[in-house]
Amino acid sequence: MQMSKWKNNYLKIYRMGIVLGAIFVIYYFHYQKSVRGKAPISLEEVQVYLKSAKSISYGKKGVEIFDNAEQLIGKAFTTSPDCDDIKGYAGSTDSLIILDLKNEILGVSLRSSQDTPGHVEDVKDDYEFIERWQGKDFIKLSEIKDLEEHEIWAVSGATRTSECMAWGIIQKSKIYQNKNAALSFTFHWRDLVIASVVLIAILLTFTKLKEKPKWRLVGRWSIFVLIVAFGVDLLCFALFGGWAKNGIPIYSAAILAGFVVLMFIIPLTTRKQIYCQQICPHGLMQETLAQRVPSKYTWKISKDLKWALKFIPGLLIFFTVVVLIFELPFDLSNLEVFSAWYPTRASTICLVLFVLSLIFSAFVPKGYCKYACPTGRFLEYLRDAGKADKFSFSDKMAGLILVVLIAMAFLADKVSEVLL
Amino acid sequence: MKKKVYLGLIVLLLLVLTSWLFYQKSILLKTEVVANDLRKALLAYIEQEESYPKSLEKIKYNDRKLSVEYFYLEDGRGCKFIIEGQKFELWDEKR
Repeated sequence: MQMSKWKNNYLKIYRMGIVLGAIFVIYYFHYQKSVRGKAPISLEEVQVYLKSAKSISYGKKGVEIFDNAEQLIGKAFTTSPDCDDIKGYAGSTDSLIILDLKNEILGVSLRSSQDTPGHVEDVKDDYEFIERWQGKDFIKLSEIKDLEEHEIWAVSGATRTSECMAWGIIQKSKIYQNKNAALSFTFHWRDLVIASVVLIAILLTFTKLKEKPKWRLVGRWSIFVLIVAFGVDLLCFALFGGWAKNGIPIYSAAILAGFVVLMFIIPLTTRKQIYCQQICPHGLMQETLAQRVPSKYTWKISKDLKWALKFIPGLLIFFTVVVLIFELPFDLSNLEVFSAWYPTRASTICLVLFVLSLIFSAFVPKGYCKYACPTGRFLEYLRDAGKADKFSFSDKMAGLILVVLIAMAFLADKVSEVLL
Repeated sequence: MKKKVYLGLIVLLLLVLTSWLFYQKSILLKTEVVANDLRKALLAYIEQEESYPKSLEKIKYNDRKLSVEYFYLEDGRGCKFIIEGQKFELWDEKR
């Protein structure tokens, strides 16, 4: 008895470890890419302005510069890619900004530009323009509305390139301040709808209401109406992927984040798959359609085909991981049908999948859930199956996906080189 | 045996989709590189000749076998090029 409980706990830890590990790898991979940009800052570039610099470290707010004693001595930023929308003569310009610990500019330099090579050289060679930035308070730059008022004169003959560089630095100052601004939780009226949906689902799952079919039906249709009428975000791999890649929007979507986390925790700890059973509108629609079609019309799927079809959700999960790591041009909301519940937001592919899935499910009860839904399979994987639960084929595959994911993260740059 | 054939077909379909996406990604990456290369070459030409080239014949750049279309305005106000359906303008439209 005690032994099987321990086994069960290890299994839960393993499964959570796999999921958190995959999220961490995807997040860290994209985080590294975003902070480094296409042309990472090198120590040599920094040493031009800070000779005592001995090492640099990438962070979300820029590059931190350290001396021999590992003491922080300054910060460095590039204006690309954040300020690439500021165009000069023919394109954007990437500048380097080095600050001391008081946010005073130690130096700026033009790293690369899409402008005319001659103009770019003119700006690089204009020491008066470049040196004018030294000693300025980087934070106060964000207040600049007119360059000349602040004694920043464009380079003669390369006006647009130098102005592009100047506005890029100013824009970076604004971005830097926004990143440092204290974030606060924001709530939306739709959060109340999410909370109501969760509350009804919990009541239907954990109270005596679950034993009263009529009340269950009323509850499920209430959830359905709330979700469809108010456009509540549904759990799907487009959402999971976006959050794994960019981080969870805790401040701007706290309730939604809580909702998603709860939908993972409940099956893991209570054996109840609350989301698929009570909340998912597509599940309810499939059930309703299947009830309307007489059983004589139900399609009989052969055992062999059933066996093969059951691999689809898992394969789609692996496909999602490949899309996320290699940044393939594929909209993950087209992988599932859930966006189609808000037709104005959905693509044609998603709408077609939506209609096909409902037709299929009318003749194969809950056919989409069983054979095509990666979100459902993901939640089911996390569900505690009690004493009967054991280390299964799914666990082996999940472990394999994590290992392949790590390998892909290491190889992604090499693959990009090959694709070029 | 039959079930492995079914599974093989499913995996094959997914592999075809994935390969096509990698091909699309490859075109996107190449487009970016070719656009940068062509932009630089055009700017160098314009700086030297003080006029837009009427075609890309005289412009040396690596097109990486992508389809590139070039257009210029007769009144000399600007030029644009389209690489694999993606439009690039040498001048900001707002100006």
